[in-house]
Amino acid sequence: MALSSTFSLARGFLGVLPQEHHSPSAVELHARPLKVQPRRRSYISASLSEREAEYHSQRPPTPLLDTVNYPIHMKNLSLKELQQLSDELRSDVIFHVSKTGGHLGSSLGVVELTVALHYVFNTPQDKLLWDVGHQSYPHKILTGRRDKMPTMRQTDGLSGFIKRSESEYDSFGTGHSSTTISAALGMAVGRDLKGGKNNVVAVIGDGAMTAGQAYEAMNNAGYLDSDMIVILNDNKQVSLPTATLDGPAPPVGALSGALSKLQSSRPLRELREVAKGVTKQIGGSVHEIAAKVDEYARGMISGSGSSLFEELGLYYIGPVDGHNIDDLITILREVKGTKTTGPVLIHVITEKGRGYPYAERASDKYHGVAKFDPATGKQFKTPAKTLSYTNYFAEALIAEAEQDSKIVAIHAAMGGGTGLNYFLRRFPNRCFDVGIAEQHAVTFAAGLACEGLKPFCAIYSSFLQRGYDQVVHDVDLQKLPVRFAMDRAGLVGADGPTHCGAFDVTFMACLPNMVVMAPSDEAELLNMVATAAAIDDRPSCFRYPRGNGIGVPLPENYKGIPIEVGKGRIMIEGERVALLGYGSAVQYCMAAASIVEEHGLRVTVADGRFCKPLDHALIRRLAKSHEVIITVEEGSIGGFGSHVAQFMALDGLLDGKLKWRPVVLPDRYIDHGSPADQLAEAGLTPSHIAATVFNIIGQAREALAIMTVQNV
Amino acid sequence: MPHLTTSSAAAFGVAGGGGHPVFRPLPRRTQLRARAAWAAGGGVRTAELPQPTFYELLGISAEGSSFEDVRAAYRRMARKYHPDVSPPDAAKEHTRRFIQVQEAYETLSDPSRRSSYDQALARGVCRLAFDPASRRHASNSAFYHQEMEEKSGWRTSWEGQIAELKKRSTGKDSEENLSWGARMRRRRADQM
Repeated sequence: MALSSTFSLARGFLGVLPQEHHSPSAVELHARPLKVQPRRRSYISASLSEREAEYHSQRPPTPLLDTVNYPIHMKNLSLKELQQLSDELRSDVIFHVSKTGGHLGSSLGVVELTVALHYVFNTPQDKLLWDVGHQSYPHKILTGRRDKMPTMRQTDGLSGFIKRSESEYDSFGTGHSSTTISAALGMAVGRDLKGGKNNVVAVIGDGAMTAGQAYEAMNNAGYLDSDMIVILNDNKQVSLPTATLDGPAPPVGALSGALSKLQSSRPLRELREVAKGVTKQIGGSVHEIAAKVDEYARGMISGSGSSLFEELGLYYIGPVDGHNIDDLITILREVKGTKTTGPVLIHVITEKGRGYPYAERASDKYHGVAKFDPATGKQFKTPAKTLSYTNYFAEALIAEAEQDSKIVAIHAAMGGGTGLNYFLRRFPNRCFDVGIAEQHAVTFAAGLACEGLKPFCAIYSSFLQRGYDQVVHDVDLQKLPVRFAMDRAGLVGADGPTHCGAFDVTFMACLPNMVVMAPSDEAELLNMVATAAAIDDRPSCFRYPRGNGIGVPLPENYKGIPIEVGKGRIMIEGERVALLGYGSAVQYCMAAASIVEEHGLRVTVADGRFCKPLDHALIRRLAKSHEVIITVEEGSIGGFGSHVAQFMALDGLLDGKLKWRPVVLPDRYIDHGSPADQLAEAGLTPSHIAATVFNIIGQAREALAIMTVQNV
Repeated sequence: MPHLTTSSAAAFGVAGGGGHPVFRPLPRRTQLRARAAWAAGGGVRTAELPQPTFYELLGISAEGSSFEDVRAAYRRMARKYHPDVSPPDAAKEHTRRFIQVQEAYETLSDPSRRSSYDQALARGVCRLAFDPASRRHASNSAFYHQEMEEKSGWRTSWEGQIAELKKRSTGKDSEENLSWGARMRRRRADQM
């Protein structure tokens, strides 16, 4: 009998409590009454085939939800009907996400809250803001987009986040976190200046409260004293995915402890009960004293957290059970009905993944899922021959850290997304999760570098935007050797423009001391991790895209070899036209070269590897022996191509017959969709590049032929 | 926190006299009874032996034991007490123990449940949430009741907060309040 963490009990031993009625033990506190079959004691079974269906396999009927297309259709429902509506909405979300994939756990946690908000407030006149936006699926269903839910996160379909251009009920676009209090305050102040009377409500999670912007906003809100409501959705999940490899992740940061203390404010209650007992006995005159005791108690006894909000000037209400519609509606109605409140913070406690047994039990709470089978919770993951670039990065960093004890890793609440959960498991003391706090992460890394350590900051390209000043001022200006590993560079597919890493080459390569490089495949990535580890006198960065490797031979144990800084390489020798690619675009160039070859021209393909410092010798060589140089990168203007052009101009290489053309991401935001669709929309497919080659050398017919053939 | 609760418990005990307000004893909740019984030391009905805590059951220390420690301890205990490997005469006892160990693991491995359990322990409410011999005992269901009661206690607290909010609201736009928001609200009221 093998005992492991996925523990399979021997047949015949059910471990079921030997009693008649199902008295819930501590384990099943959050069990929801199931309609399918009585729940066994929850244990993780070893193989999926042993799972019995714990949820519906067919979509259950949703009679009430079918009558609600917009929030106005909800206004006449009774409390019982609203509860039924929540249940139906929950199953609707589960079944929709099971078909399209997306974010599940967070949406399930806010079903009751969404229903209560739309019931009490008059959206869209009342502004409702959702922080990050990935929990907005119930909101979208209730606001006229239920029929479009099958297109969630697909090309030309619904966005996975809040998007103003999608609906008038989406008040403020989100994707990065911790922005809603600021935006809500702006809307509240704008309303005041116009003399309006609508409500403004911002829903923000406890994870987003680790970011400084939330406090900047609360501080300002308290000062301005404008009427607004902030709902703190507390589900004790502060990092993503909400688990390490070995189990649920304990929340990082001291704030989580403070928020927990707020939930168990028994001493305050007892003191209140004492005070109430006093006033009931004596009446009248003691009421003032009791009120003062109350105020005193609120500040001193009820835990430091509520004092924090109070000190910032927000009136604190809570904790509130976020799955009890009655409570939510009562509180929201009361606050809405109070004439003047100033800023109010309602602390709502929810459970991520609530209502779907598999999500409740999973350590990552089914935060982000692929398509799955609702009855068994099993996700359909297409097997791939190669690992993702994220995995390769993690393995490479572990390999480097095995040999160099000074290497440490930092990430901002993205242990799974950056692959650093693997690093954490291997080196628990050398991996730092700072919560959603990119600015702090960068300066924290700078501090580590001052002490001679070798920090690797793994932050998504688009999230690093938030820490840019720290990169410039704290790292680059002082020439501290911090290494930035920018995952999700370039187009990212279903997440859309909010998560797109289009700008990192531009904003990193313009910094005087930064070494900027990009691998074209996974073997190069391993080598660049080694290179970055070896660069100890200045900051360095490398970018890699979302997706899997292309399948090249890898060094043993994922240990790369440092490459010479400022050296590119030639992939294919050809003539007339040189395709100089950077990063993953090199693969598109290789594919374009094979398309072009079918039409009789063999072009040169080179891998720039370094944007800074550029391989001057390579560029000079290409310039001298070709008519055209085309630089290709999956980034915005101002990146690799611009640096190459600058160098060529200064070196006199453009004074002759040489033509230079850049291929970059267009000057607009590319909407979410499949990666292939996005690439086509951006004009960066191999076909586009091949057509560009022919267009420049004057063979327009070939170019047209290439573009009219269906892209594969 | 513990000292605060005992002081309020003491406050309940004050009979008062000579002008002091008499504290009307509020309905005793399950925990208070269990706590008082625990404090009394002998009032626990069922077990003759003091019930072990989850930590003692797993043989780990309450502070500082990480998830890894918990899991390693659980595996050790489970290996020892699993009914498949236990001798037949000790099967019943081992089964009982095994269930307790499993319960302990499930509680202690989940950080949020573990922190609730620690709080409950600190209040002396319960040691072992599961005990088939004492199904109806207060301390057994107290762990469950404590969470439920916490939630119903929340209601009391936010009802009070709402009342306070309403009270504050009446004074919020008086002339003394010089905040930007108050100025705008007064201006809007004047224009209406």
